[in-house]
Amino acid sequence: MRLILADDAVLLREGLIRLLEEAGHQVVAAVGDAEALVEAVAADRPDVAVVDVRMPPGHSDEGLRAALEIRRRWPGVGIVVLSQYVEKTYAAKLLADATESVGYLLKDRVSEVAEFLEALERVRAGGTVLDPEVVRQLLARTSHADPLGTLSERESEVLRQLAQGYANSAIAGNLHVSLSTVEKHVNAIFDKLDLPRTPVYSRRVLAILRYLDG
Amino acid sequence: MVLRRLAGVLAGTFTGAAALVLLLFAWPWRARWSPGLAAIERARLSAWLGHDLPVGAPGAGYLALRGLAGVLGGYVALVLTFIGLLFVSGSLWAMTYGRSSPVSLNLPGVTLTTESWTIGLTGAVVVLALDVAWCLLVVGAERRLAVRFLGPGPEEVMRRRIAELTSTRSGIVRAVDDERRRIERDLHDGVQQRGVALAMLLGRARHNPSQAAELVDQAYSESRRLLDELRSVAWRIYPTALDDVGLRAALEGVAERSSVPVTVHYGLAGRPVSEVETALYFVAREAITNTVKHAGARDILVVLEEDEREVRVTVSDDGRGGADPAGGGLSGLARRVHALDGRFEAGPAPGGGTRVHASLPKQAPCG
Repeated sequence: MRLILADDAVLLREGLIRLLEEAGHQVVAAVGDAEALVEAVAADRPDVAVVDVRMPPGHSDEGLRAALEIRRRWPGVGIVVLSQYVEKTYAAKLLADATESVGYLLKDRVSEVAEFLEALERVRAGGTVLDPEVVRQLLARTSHADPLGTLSERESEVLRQLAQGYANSAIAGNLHVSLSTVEKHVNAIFDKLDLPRTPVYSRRVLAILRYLDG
Repeated sequence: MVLRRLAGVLAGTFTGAAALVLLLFAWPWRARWSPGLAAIERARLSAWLGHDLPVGAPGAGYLALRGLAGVLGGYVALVLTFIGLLFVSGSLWAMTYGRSSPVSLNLPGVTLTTESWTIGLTGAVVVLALDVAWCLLVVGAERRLAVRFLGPGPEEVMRRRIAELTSTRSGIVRAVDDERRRIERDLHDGVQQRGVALAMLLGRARHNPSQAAELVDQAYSESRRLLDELRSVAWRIYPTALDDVGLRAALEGVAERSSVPVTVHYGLAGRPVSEVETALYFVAREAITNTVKHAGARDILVVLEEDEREVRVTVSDDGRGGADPAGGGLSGLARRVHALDGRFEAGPAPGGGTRVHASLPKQAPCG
């Protein structure tokens, strides 16, 4: 796939370029600040843009704001936001309008090469990828502690997978169970949390996130 | 200067006389005229006597005392000046027109014969010297009166000290927050990036077994760089050398690491107390770092000196100047110095370049 990288740390940028090229991807541009990122995306629509949250000049959330702008102007471009820390509000902003083709990962995840590459593929395919850490924080901080307590251990595991954006088939593979078992768990979760059952899986992520964030 | 003081003392005669007259004859309306008189006094003290008064309304007691002192002081000064000028003009007259006559002086055991103009000039010198001494005495007395009656009372002093403490206290809290931000930045930009890069190299090695050996080699070098970075960040946060071997050695360490040559003149006899030592160290180091980063200087000079009351550090360079005292690093240092009751200045150096100066009392005043 064709990618654009935006990270102000040269060391990381170079490392990421190597990693992606070794995996057979093409890095069409690698830039060091948010403005250059938007320009690069405008010039050469990539499949996915990998964006660091914190970039010059302000070193706060320039990358995230650029990512939101790209999502608004070029909805076809997938976005994977990398962040040094997990910040729930960043995830909420990214997913506010739509959950298609977007990912939010801790920067360290790039060292888990296979998972990182797979996450990129999922985002390109229109999926949602949320760092397990985001999901853990959402589950820990949620104000809906009681209904969550009624979930069985297996159902909690499936919920975590759901919130990370995995489709039923992928969850079945990850947890080594059959697809029908996963479907059963998913329905049980939606019933227990009183969420509307929806077959469109990206809306499903949104529903779960809104629930957890509430 | 002497003439200015003399003018001030003479002007004081009139304001003093005015005060006495008003006190005697316009007592019931004092609320109306005393502020105006106080303003005139203030202007006179500031312009001629070099003494800036704190804001305070003068009472009748001050006006009466100051009036008496002013009239007496001014009168005596006027008389002395007049006599002195008389002597000078007399002897000049005698010299110019040759009307000088020999005068014999009969002192016990010695008889001197001299020209009258010599005696005249001698008299002038003596009288004018007396005049100057008298003026200085009056100026001193006026100052003491003004401080005693117009200066801040103990309550006012306390109020100001509390305001100062409140402001420096919040300053130090902000300085601590700024420090933390900088430390986070240091960790984020350096250590964390290297850590992720290292993890990425190892991740790639695991993913591509064929290149594993080479990638592990790179990862090893990266881990060395990570450790170097970590060491230097820790040292920037707080150099333990400062506690162990003292300011001098710690500053020499800074000088060695600087890419611009640094000369340190260490003029302190002993070691200052710990918080002062730390402040001196960070002022010097921050100034050096700023210069190296922004000033394009070829030489940096660090001077540490002391007297019985305070220690001072001055860092100057020959760069292009333009240091911003409101900039993050410098304003944090200023807050640190103020919290220790010190003074902090950053600005252009007289001969070009930048000069950063901090002076700190050796012992914090209590109360």
